[in-house]
Amino acid sequence: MLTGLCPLCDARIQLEADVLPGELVECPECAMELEVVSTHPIRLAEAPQEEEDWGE
Amino acid sequence: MLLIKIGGGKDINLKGIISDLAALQEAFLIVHGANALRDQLAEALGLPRKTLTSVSGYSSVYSDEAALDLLLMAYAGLKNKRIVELCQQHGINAVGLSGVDGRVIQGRRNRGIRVRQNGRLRIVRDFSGKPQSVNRELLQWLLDHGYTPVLTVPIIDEHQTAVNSENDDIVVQLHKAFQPRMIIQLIEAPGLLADHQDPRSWVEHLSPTQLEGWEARVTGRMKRKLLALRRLFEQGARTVIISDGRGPHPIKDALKGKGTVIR
Repeated sequence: MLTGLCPLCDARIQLEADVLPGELVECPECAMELEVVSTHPIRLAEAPQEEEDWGE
Repeated sequence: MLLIKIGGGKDINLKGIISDLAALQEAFLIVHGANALRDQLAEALGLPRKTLTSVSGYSSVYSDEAALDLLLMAYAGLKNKRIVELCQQHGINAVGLSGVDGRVIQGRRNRGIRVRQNGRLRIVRDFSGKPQSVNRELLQWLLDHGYTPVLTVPIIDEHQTAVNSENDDIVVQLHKAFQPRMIIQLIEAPGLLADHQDPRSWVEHLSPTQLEGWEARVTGRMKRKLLALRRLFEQGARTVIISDGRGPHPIKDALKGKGTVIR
């Protein structure tokens, strides 16, 4: 298991060992939706809210 | 003024469309696709098309760098220049432009799409974006000087990067800038189909208020097309005709109201 820090509330978040960049997780403390922006080292950021009708 | 959107299907009768357009007195702008050609090139080059479906059910083409190169070849290259050539052969002084040229179609890079892969939720990003404005000044100058713009993807994003986009959304921006009296969309079907497997199920008339109901009933790319149509009417579009691009006279037929007339 890997761990990351919630950028909002500093809670420790457990992540799967094979976590991928772009994966979305929810902070168990503050419920913020977070994106794994890098895996080496683990860095989490608030997930962007995208528009639904995307691309071509 | 008319706004003509030519679909990129393989059976679209480009010659018929351009020869009909050559007979018009009214100014027009052309936006075209090239999806069949893109897929054909992709196969020849061994680059299969990748698509993604968002968790909310919208499907999209995944445009990585190789896919964008392919887009430049198929849309902005081969198809665009062949349409311009056909126009020239029919006395239309056409100028082919991608959205990158002269920043004709400016947009913003997509922030990502939420997809579920192997049970996990991810945000995936690529070279795609949403058009937000057009270079009206350049297009109007061309029109005023007797040139007919023939437009296609890619568009240019806020990082000055070429990105893929949806032609239906480009039509929305062109409508906003020019307020054409009519938008003609030429596709490989007789019109909007109530049952996508039954070509006889085309709907002759729709009101803009009926579009939302249709959007809820369909899936995949059609869902996105209907959303774009709804946006056109929210912006004050007067008439959209979705007509068959495969017949001998697609524009003449569309102007007679053959197809699905939305007004």
